[in-house]
Amino acid sequence: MYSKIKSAVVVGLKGSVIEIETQISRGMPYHVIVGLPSQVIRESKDRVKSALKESGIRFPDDRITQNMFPAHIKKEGAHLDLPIAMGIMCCMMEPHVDLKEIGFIGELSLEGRIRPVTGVLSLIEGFVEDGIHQIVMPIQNLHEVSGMKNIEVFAYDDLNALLKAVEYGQMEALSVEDAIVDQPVLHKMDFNEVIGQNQAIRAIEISAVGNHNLLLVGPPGCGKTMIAERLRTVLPPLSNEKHLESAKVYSLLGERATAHERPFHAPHHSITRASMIGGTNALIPGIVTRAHNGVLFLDEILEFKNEVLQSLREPISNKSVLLTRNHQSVEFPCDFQLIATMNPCPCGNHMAKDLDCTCNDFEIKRYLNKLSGAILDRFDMLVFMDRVELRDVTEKNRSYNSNLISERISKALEFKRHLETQGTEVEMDGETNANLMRYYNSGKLSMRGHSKLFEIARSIALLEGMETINRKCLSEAIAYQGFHRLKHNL
Amino acid sequence: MNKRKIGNQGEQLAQNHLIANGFVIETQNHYTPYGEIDLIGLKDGTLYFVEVKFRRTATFGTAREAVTQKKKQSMKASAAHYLKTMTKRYVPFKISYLGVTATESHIEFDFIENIFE
Repeated sequence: MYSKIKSAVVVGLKGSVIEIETQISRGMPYHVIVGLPSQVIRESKDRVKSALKESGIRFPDDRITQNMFPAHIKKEGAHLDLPIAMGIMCCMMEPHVDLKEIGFIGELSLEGRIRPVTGVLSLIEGFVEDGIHQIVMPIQNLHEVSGMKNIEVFAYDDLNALLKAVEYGQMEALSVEDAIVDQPVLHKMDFNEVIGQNQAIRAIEISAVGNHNLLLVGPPGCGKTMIAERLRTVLPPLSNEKHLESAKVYSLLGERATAHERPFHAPHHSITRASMIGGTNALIPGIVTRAHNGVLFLDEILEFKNEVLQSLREPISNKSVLLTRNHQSVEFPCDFQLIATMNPCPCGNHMAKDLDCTCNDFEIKRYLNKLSGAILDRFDMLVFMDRVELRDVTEKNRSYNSNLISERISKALEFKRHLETQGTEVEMDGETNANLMRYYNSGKLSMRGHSKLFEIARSIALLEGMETINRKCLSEAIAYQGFHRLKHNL
Repeated sequence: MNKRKIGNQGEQLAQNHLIANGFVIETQNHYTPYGEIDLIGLKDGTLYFVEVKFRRTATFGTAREAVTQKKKQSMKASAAHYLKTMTKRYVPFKISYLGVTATESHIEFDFIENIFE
């Protein structure tokens, strides 16, 4: 008795189809799974046995040999329970559906229920690439595939029901469009809670248009964290394509991606390198990949371990991270916007207008040297924040609110798309370009800094709805280049 | 009826079944230091060391499941001991299993020639 069932496994973020061959022959009870199965799959033997028995099926008292093809890919994940069980069942009965055309994924509980699994989106992508468009999956994973095209989904939560449907050829496809779509999240925060600090809010707005990395520097209590946290209230929603990319990451981690909201991650500074970049033996994506298409917020960046900060270098510039463990390499995307806050010195009052700094030059220098030049160069914008002026405090000067800012940002992005469809690019006028060259000549910019400065000026122009970058845009962009000031006079 | 009597009844049924299938029974309940061999039969020049399992119902697990890894190992050792002490030259042999399920209406035999295959 022989059967062949198709399933898939995830390597990195990519799904690839595998075949499970089952052969049952007369002999003493024995169940072996070959073809590089992981520990989880070896354990699945017992789950499958119990699930089949609980579904009212006589588990064969024979020699069962199962092989997973191709043998060189490591098979990981509890989602292979269901295909393993189906392999055994299809050996014993005459299925009335074409098994070659169907991919199976699902974890089994001992009582025969089909449990939700992780990485559904990557698995389905693997199926579709291989030409399998009919997928049997757990009903609880259905919400993840909402809006996916050219697939036919059969969702079950009970093994018995599935077996009957397969035996009598009565599988009914569920409409993917009907799956519940998450409601947009309502934020409790708003920019109108911020008093003063208009320059920093303006900088946040610009950074959101062009995904610029932003460093907020200022004394304790001036509102750095407050402003940075409110960035998530104005971020533009994700496009369908990008949402799918992020959802794949979250699906792999077994978490639910929230609607089309951009991810926003603020890890504590005790985070390790492996959890930041990703890794461990199973090659799990780290925070940088979770923040893909969103924001990575490092509060008090100087408190992070140096090795963690240094390991951010390539992810920031490459927008992807290549992890290698045990002869296996996977590439995870990590196109995030980095927002960080820090104090300018140990006491925090260095460079503040009317606060006295108690640190000496050496202390300040040592403190700032924790942030290497390479990391500093990867910040496109730096904003010095000071204590809020008395005038602003007494007048409760709240000049911004989140709705206003998010409208402006969406308008700027729409304008950008509009220009792109027309095939025109935002350009710098001649005089401004000469100014930029002069600034470059002063030695304050790296080549990266030069192109970033141009991009910031472009974001400002987009916000203003202009097709050319004028002097005003450039000088505002240069105002966010305060890096040399940090270590000035030390 | 005690356990031994039930066992004997099963072994009697098993023995008849084997004889009907062309086996010559050499020994019954042969004791070795490693355990007991229920039946030793000869067919076509091959010795069969047969472990007999008798069941009246499958409620408490099937008969096949009752042959554990430990039992398999002891059967191997017993068979080796038998070959060493009772035969003078090499005889091809197999370690077999015969399940007998006897319900009120019918008797079912389940013979597996080689349990190590």
